[in-house]
Amino acid sequence: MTNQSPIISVNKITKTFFNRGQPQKILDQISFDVQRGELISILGKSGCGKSTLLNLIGGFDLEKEGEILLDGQVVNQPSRRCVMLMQNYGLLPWRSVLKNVELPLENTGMSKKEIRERAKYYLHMVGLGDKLDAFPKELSGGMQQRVAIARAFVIQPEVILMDEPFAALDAFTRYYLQDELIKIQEKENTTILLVTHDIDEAIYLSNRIFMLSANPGRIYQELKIPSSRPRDRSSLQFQKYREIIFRNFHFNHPIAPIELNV
Amino acid sequence: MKNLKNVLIGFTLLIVIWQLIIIVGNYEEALLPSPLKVGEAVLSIILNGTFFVHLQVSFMRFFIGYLSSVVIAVILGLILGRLARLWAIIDPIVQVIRPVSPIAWSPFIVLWFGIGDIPAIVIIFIASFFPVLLSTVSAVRKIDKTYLRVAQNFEIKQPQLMWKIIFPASFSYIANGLHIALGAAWIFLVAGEMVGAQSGLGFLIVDARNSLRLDIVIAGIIFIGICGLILDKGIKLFERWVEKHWGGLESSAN
Ligand SMILES: Nc1ncnc2c1ncn2[C@@H]1O[C@H](COP(=O)(O)OP(=O)(O)OP(=O)(O)O)[C@@H](O)[C@H]1O
Ligand SMILES: [Mg+2]
Repeated sequence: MTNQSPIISVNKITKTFFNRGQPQKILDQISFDVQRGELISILGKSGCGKSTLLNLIGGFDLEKEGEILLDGQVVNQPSRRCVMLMQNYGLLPWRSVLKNVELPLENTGMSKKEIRERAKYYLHMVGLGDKLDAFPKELSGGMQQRVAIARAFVIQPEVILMDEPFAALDAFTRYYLQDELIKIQEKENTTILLVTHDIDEAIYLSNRIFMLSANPGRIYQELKIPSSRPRDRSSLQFQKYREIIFRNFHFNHPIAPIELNV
Repeated sequence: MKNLKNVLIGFTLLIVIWQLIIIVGNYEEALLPSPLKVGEAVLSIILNGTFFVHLQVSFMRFFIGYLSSVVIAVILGLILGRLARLWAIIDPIVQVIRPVSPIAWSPFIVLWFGIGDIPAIVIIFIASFFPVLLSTVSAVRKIDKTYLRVAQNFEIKQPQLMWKIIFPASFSYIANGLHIALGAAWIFLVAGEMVGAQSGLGFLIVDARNSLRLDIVIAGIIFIGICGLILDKGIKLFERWVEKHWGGLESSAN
């Protein structure tokens, strides 16, 4: 892994938004590399710039200082090599589940039959082989997210960006989909960059966790999790990582006594 | 069932009041025909077939005018909706032309197209054009950005972008414009046929007036109303179908 060139290379990214003419530095000099096949979580408080960072990497937002490389090439537009999984799934409501997954394969020179088989294969992989003809609105949130996952993997992109993919789901569905994700990722050897609020999710899934601070956003800590997946959520080691992260977020500081001024 | 009862009550009342006005005001049949007389007229034009001849002609003109207008307005709207700069220039012109009744163009229309089917078709075309154009442009402009991002991400280019993403994503708003345009077009059908036609429901009324048959005038009005209602119900069914198969307005958000 070490002698390979990184699939993603983020070099000194600074992002400034202007709110009513006032500049507001959201991301400050962010740099990191991601190797092929890694799963990286970006963990941080709400509003610290996680989605902003993902949008920059995906090429959806090009206004920034610094440089982002995908496989050595400057990112200057969104591309099929790096698929973004939207927070609201981004399915097309007028297309059936199967047709949604077929969408990115259409007009690529593949035959209709090939397209259908590929789409079915990935839908089976996420456990939706029996929902091919359903429409997105007939599915639960978890099922919709699985369709979106199948649609992202179906073109076998090198990178998938995920913005809080499981945030809206209940704990059982979330655990289930996390396991699914690991399975598919290992099979396809896809690089995944995942934004989350959920500390357990980050520990459970990631090879590395970047912790992002707010105002301005900086990566102030990188945590490597070398143990193999699937991981035991109740293990001592898991607890240890949780504690490290908690400490980093100053969550385990004693609550300051309340001063009462009468 | 309850609906039908209300309809019956409403129309019975209308007929009673109509008859009362005639009795109280002591109007002549030539000035205000009685319900009975109108009923006879309705029956007679159905039985001797004149109604169906005119109806057929009217429908033919209506659908040619409406459909050609809709196709052109939707295509133009899809393109203009994506070209903000161009639309900014065209919009003021449209805003000025739109409130002008299509009938106001009739001197030119008759001059250019003579009499016959074309003037009515052109007037229907104009009447339905602007509602469809405007609703298509605004539908395209407020399309959910998520769909555009998905298209960008999968590198979907024109013309696929237009007919796979933009058109379906804005279709339920466009269908709304189609509905409004249908009503407007039907109203102007009659006016159009009064301008330069020798047949059709509008002509039926002009012709009856010229021969002082006010009972047939009212019969014509009744038929025009009923046909308009049927068209409206028809497009409502179409809208419901759209909602079911194309996702509807509200479900596009999540
Ligand atoms: N288009 C914009 N214009 C101005 N400010 C913006 C814009 N988009 C985001 N911001 C600001 O940038 C900051 C980071 O936003 P971002 O959406 O990246 O946060 P986040 O970490 O993804 O938060 P969350 O976890 O709640 O999704 C916020 O303070 C937000 O107000
Ligand atoms: Mg976010």
